[in-house]
Amino acid sequence: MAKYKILVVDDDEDTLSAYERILRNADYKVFTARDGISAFREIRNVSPDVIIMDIIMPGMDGLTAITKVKNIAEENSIPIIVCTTVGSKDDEIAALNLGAAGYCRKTAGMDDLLQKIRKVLGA
Amino acid sequence: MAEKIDFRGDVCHSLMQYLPGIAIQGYRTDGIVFYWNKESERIYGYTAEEAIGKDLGELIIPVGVLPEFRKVLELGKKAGSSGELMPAGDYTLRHKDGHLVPVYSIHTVIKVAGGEPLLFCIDVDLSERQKAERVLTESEEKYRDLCDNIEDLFQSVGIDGSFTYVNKAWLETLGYDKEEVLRLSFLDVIHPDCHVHCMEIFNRLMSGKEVEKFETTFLAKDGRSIILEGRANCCFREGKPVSTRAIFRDITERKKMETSLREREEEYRLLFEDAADPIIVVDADGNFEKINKEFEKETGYKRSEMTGRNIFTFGMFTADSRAKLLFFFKQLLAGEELEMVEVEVVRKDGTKILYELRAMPVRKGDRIMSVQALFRDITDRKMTQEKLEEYATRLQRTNKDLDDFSYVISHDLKAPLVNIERFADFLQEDCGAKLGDKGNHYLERLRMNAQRMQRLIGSILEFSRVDRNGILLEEVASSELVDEAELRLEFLIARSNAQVTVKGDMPKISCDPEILVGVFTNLISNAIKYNDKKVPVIEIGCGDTGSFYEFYVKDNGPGIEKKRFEEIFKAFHKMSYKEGQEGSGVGLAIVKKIIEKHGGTVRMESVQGQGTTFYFTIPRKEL
Repeated sequence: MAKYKILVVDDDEDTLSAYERILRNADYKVFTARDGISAFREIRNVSPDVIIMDIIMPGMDGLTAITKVKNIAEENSIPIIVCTTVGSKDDEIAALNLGAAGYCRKTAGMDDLLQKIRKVLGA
Repeated sequence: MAEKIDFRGDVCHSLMQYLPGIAIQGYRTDGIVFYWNKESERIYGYTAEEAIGKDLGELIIPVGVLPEFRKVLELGKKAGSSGELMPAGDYTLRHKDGHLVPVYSIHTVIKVAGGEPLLFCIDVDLSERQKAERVLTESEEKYRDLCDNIEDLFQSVGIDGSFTYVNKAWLETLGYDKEEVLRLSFLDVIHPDCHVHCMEIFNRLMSGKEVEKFETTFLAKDGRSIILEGRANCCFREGKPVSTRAIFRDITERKKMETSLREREEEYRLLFEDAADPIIVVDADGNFEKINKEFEKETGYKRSEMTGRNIFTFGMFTADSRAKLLFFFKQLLAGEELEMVEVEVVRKDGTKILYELRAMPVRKGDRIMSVQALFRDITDRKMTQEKLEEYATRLQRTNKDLDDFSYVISHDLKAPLVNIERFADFLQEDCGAKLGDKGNHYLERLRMNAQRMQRLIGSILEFSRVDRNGILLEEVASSELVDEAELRLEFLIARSNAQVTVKGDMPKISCDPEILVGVFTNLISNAIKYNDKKVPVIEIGCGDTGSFYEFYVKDNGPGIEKKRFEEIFKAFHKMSYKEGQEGSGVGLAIVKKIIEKHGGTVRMESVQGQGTTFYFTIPRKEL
C-alpha cells in the first residue's frame, strides 16, 4: 500500500523539520511549502492526500490559502487541517466555515494532529 | 315843568297803576279790597273788578298766612299816622288758579283825617328769582356731586392761598377731613421741594396767565409724598382774580412703575450692551434693530454699518450658514420652539468664526415682533471636541496596536518555544542513552522551562484577547458554564483529588459564555493549584444582590494575607505555589478584566489558614 502524501505549509523552517520527522515516523510521505504560493505549486505537483496549514504566514495567510484551494475544482476535495500556534476560537470557527477538515494547536508532541490526520484519512 | 304837574291826582294814580313788577293792593282794616293795580292782576290772576269789594284774605292769602294777615289788619286799625310800616317779609300767596306765588310783601298804612286807616300791600314778585336760584342750587349740587365722584383731585384756592373747596378724592388721597382743610393754606400740603414752583404757578394764574399741565408733589397728612399731575386756572370776576381751581391726578403709582421700568430698561440695556457674548435684535424681516458692543467687536463691523441692514443680505454668513439660518428663522417665526443653530460668521476682515446661535422671539401679543439672537463662539469648543475625538481615535489605535503587538509577539515567541520543546524531545529520543543521567536531567529542565514559557505566553494572549474582541452577550445557564470549566479542568481535578460542588440554584445570566467560562476555569484552577490540603474542597454558588448576581468560588486553601488583596488582581503578579503547580500570574487579572467587561466587579474574602472566597458580580438583566 502506497504511503499517504501530506503537504505541510508553514513559514518556519524548524517547525517544518519537526513536522517532517514526526510525520515520517508516523509513516507518511511528507512534502513542505513555506508560503501560500509555493503551497499551490506543491499541490499541483504532488496531489497530497492531506494538507496541514498554518494560519499566520507572510505573503498569503492560511485562511486565504484555504479559500483559494477550496475554489479550485480538482483540489477542493483535499482535506485541510489547520494547525496554528496561537489560534483562537474565532480562527477555528472561521477555518471550519471555509471548509477546513480540522483544527488543532501546535504542541510539541503533535498527538492531537496525528489523531486528526488519521481521522480525515479514514484510517 | 315838574312844578306844574299835580302829583296828587291822575299822575300819582297812573304811577301806582302801572308800576312794573310791583303789585299794590289797597284794603280796609276789615280786609275788603278797594284798590288793585295792573301788576296785581298779573301775578294773582284777578282783575280789578273781580277783586274790588272782596276780602283780600279770601282772594290771595293761604290758610297758613291768615294769622299773619289778621295781625296786619289789627296793626292797621291801631295805626296812629300814615306811612307806618308794618312787618315785611317773604310770603307765599295764592294765585286765582290756586298755584302759589312767592312774593316779598311790604305793608303800609295811610290815614286820612277823620277817615278810617287804609292799608296797602306792596308785593314784589319773587317767582322768577326763586326759579333762577333753584336752577343755580341744583346746578351747584350737580357740580359738587360730580366733583365728589371723580377720581381726580379737585381743589379751589382763594386769593389768600387758603382752600375754599376740595373734593372727596382730594380728601381721601391726602388723608385730611373737610374742616381742617378749610383752615389750611395750599402750601401746607405741598412738599417743601415744590413750594417755589407752586408759588410761581399760583402767581402766574393770579396775573391772568395760562399755566401748562404740571407735576408737583403733595404731602399727605401722614407725611407720604403724593405725586400729582394736573392743570390749574384762575377765576376772575370783574377783572379781579377770585380763586384758582386745579384738578390733579395721582400719578404716584405710575411714577413708581415708570421708575422701575426705567431701571429695568437700564438693567436690560446694560446686560445687552455689556454682555460677554455678541447679541443682536432683528425685526421679523431680519433687519438689524439692536447690536451690542461684543457683536461689533467680534464681527469687526460698526453699528452704523449694520443698523437698518438685513442680516441675510449683509454678507456676514457663509452661504451654508445663511441658508441654515434662513430656514431656522422661518421656523422660529412660524412659532416653532427651536434650541439653536450652528452658524459660521464671516468677519469684516474675511476670517470666519463658528457660533452657536440661540434665538428668542420677542412677542407682542401673539405676534413675533422681533428676534433676539445670542451668539456663542464655539470655535474653541469645536476644536477641543475634535481634539478629544482625535485623542480617542489615537488611543483606540494605540490600544489596538498594543493588542496586535502582544498578539504577534506572543505568536512569534511561542512558535520557537514549541520547537525548543520538540527538539529537546527529539534529542532525548535519538541521543538519550548517550547523554547520561545528568544530560537527561538538563534536557528535562529545558523542556519544563519551555513549557512554562508557553503557558505564560498563553496567558498574555488570553489577557490581550479579552480586550481585542468585544463581548457578545447571550443568555445562558450559569450552571453550564461551571460544567464546561470542570470539563476543561478534568485532568487537574482528577490529579489533585479535588472536590468541586455547586451549592444551590445557579441562575440564567446574560454574558459572553466563551470568555466567562474562563473566569470559572481560572478561579477553580487557582483554588486547586494553590491549595495545601490533601483534598482541595471547592464550593461554587450564587447569591442575588438586587440588580446583580453575585457568584462565588470558595476554597479550603491556605488563605491570603489581607495586604495582598489589592495586588493579587494585577497582571503578572504571581502567588507562591507548590512545586510542580505553576501559574502564569495573569489569571486573576484576566478574571477582573472579563468581569469588568460585563459590567460587574470582583472582590475577595480570606482568612489565613481557613481558605479564600472569590466573588464576582454580573448585572441582572430582565430575561
